[in-house]
Amino acid sequence: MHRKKRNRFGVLDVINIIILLYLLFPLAVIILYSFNLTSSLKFPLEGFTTRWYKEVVQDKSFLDSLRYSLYVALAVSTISVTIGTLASFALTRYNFKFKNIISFSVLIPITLPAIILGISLLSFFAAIDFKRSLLTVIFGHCIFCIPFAVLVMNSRLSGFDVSVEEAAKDLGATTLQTFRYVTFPIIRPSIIGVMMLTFALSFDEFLVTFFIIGKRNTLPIVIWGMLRRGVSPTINSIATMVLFLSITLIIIANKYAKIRTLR
Amino acid sequence: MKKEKKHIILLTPLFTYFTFFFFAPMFVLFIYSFWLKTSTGLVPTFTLHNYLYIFSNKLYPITILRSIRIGFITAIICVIISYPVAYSLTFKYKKLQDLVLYLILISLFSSYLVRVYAWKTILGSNGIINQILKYIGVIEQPLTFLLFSPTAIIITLVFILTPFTILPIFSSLQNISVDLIEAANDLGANKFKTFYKITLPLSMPGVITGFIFSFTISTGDYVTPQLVGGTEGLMIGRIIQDQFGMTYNWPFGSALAYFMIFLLIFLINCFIWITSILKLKRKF
Repeated sequence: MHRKKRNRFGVLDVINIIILLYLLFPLAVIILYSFNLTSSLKFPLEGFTTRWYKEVVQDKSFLDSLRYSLYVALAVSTISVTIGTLASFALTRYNFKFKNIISFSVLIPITLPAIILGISLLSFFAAIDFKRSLLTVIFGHCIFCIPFAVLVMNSRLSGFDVSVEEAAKDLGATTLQTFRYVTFPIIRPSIIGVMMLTFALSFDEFLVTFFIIGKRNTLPIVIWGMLRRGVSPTINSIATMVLFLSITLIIIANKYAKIRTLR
Repeated sequence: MKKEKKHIILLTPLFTYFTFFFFAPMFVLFIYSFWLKTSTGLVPTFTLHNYLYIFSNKLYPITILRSIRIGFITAIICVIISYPVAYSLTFKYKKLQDLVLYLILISLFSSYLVRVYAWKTILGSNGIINQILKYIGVIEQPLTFLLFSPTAIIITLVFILTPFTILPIFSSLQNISVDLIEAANDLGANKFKTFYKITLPLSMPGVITGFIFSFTISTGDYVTPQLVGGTEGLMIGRIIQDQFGMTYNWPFGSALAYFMIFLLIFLINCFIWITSILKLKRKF
């Protein structure tokens, strides 16, 4: 009786389908138009071409920015996962003064509008006379990636059974050995997940970057420049490629660490 | 003794990083907000001039109010349309759960700029909606009111932030024990009563988190109003950016930023207060 009620197709399902269509339709539009023959956005489409993709992969500014973005994202994910995991160990395993305040403060950067992070970092780097470059971008990205790293690691470590570590120590393992052979293998999926998640966040970040970028532009900055100049069909193909890169990262991330526990 | 020290070692990298790249920059920004911009440059001083200047020109309060209105409407719509999805994910779709979650995550993590741009191509006078309407013969001339309006901003922001609100609501719904809901049913509560008395109040933390996220992010957004807002959709992010770009009035930009932060904190507290009152009323 109960089960039958639950599986019946009803109003709720219709609402859900409409909402999901709303969330996915714009992405489908971009993918579709990236293969459109002409540069105008005519409906129905006028033919199929991969011309825009060929143009993009020969574009030097695109390739350079892609390289810079990958470099930044790799550095950001490494730093964030290291700092985030260490902090998460402290927050889930120990009780100490101001623990609640610290857990709360870690999350402030992701509740602030990105523009405020951007201008505060800009003012700071100007005040200490630090030249803006990809390095300042890395510093800026970590500020909103570390909170996500802490969140995901917390959800993993709070369910961690400490008795396996104690067992290893009872059997004579040193602290280092325990970490190497017991703790690390257990948390490795979450570490990979966090790295993918922070990589994706950094790779996509625009607004903070916008204020603290030097001469070398990351991919979102180049895309922004193109958007400002007007509608070009190459944007659609870049967008589609970026979309598939993000999807890959997210599928890997979700496979290893359930991002759904994000709070 | 040893254990007590360990957490400090583990937290040191975080402390150092946040002090240097978050607290120090936020402090510098705060200091700037009391400086003064003159024709010769920035003068280090202590004045409230920048804060008072916000009210000197009608443009600033109007833009701030517009940003908050757009942010509030966006957040409310986000929560309202996220709830049924999160609810179904938890209680209805057992087999479909992974697939639907993936679709939401794909939307969430596809490029932010691209997603805003997508709506520009959909709503524009040469956009999909106008092309389709023309094709099927509903209109002759393209509808121009679709793009470059506060409505366009809200449509786009809701699209961008809904995945962000679904996740916290979903995770708080997941924490509700099914026994509790079954107990309510056994005691004679109907579906709606169970929802109002049990499910909704227990999922409130997720609703509040989702609301706060979408409210602050959309109020302070810069990209969306720039691309789809037009002149009618000028928002506070643009004005702040101008102070740090063209106008080069960093002190005023900092004051605007801090004014906005304080206003957001105040409004969020009001929201939390209102939801707690509503919950109390329901109890008695």
